[in-house]
Amino acid sequence: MDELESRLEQLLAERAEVPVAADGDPVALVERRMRRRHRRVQLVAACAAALAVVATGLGLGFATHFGAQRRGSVAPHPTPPPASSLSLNGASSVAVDRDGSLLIAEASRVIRRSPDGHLQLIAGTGVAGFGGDGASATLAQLNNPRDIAIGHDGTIYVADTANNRVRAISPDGTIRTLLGNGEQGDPVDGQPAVDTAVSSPQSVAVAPNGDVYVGESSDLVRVSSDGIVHVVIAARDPSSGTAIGPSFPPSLSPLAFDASSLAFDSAGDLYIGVNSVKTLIRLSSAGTLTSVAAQIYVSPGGLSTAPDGSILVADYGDFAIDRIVENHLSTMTAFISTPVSGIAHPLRPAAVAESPDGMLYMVDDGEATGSPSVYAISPGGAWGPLSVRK
Amino acid sequence: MDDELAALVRGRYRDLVRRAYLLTGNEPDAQDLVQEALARCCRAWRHRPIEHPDAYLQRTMVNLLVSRARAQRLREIFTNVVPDHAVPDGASERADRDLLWAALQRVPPRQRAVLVLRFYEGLGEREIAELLEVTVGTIRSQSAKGLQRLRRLDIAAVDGKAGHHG
Repeated sequence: MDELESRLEQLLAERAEVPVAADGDPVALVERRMRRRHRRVQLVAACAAALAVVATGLGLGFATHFGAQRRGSVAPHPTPPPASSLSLNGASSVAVDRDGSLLIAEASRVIRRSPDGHLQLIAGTGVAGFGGDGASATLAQLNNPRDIAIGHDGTIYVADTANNRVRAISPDGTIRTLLGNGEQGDPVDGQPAVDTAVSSPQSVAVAPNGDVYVGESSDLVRVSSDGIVHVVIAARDPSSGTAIGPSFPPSLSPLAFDASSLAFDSAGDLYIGVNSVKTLIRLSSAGTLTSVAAQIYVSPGGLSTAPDGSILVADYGDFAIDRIVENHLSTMTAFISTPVSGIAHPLRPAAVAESPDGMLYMVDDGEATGSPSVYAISPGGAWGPLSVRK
Repeated sequence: MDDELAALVRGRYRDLVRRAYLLTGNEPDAQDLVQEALARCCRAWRHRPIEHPDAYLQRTMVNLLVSRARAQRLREIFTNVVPDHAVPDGASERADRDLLWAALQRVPPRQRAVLVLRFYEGLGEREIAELLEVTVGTIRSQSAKGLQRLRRLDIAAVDGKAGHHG
């Protein structure tokens, strides 16, 4: 046992002795909780039954009308929802496709929302897990994807975080694994990407040349078009002597490196959000690392490339969306100082994307509401929820 | 609740909260975790008595911890500077342990749970794997990852402290 391990052992033994306050009889506390759960189940069942009655009684026409009205605040040309009962269920990240469609990553699915508000299932059965490679992505399983990115050919890349893989959905709808053999571990430079371990990949971005960059718990890797993985930055335990990559700016300890979020600007520079120390750094196309901003909170999916090539930053620490143009960071929208009318809670951006027509889409992290959801802001400044989880 | 279950809840509650505290890092969350795990245990018990309630409870607490962290994964401690109080003489060791405690809270929940099971409960890799119903390989890598993460955070925290005060 080394020094850290023995300190940890001592710490845990010590902390376990913290006295526990007596808040009443444990049996009563547990029984109350069991009843609470029971009531919730009853309530949900009653609501579902009532909804079914309403839907049957009034027919689909009402539902269509209602759906169109709800979306009217953000979609200029709403169309009836599809016959399927697809609805959004939380969100972890968003990206905008070339045709202006919004792609939304959820806990175990990817859903496309066309500019007219029509929802389409792209990947995932809705049950978290792994499986389905080589066939239709809608029959495959994902597990807690944290970020999505779109390739130049329309391929959708998904950081399938809890599966320790990056998945790729080709334009014909089939899914495959791009990176990761499912094992959690450090990627090995030069191996076929599908044969290497990777540790909780949480961000993904596509370089101008089509290479896919992936941020995982302590490394930044690149998968080239030949399917080989290249370690770009590895800032591991220095005692193992495996640090790889350019030297770090003085403000950033290599030990604290992670690549929580990634996005390329039009010049081919890669912006990297280092969440563990709240720093944004830039890896230039020439291969040098510089500091862009300190004290900035960027979660996975928190960086994206705008259609004009600038970088959008979902800065959840400042409750703001920022834009970086030619290395200059400015705040576009701050949700604390300018609260959104009709929304009672502050919006905390976890992810952001911009469509070619200037529409901004943002994932609120659900800190205030308990469930993350997507909001949209029109170029004119009008806000509305894209979807609200009931 | 029948007598056997009530005895289990009363008998295990405090000890479970102490263990949960090591997982959550604060007492309200620890109490919440324990109550939810016990409620689930009691519900499951109605169908069939649970053979090893301690293992069931421990596993449920870890799973709840992980799924909650996932649901609230952006909720973070908003201090950039880890706790570093001005304290009288003789307390520097404790301050260091505060730093380590803060660092432990930033280790991903499943890795943290493996570290607690290993270094507090003193369980071996095989026992942890059986308890959490995953492979030994997973435990081994999560343990290594967790320690590695902790080491990095610890070094960064100590460096940060030196930077602020040195």
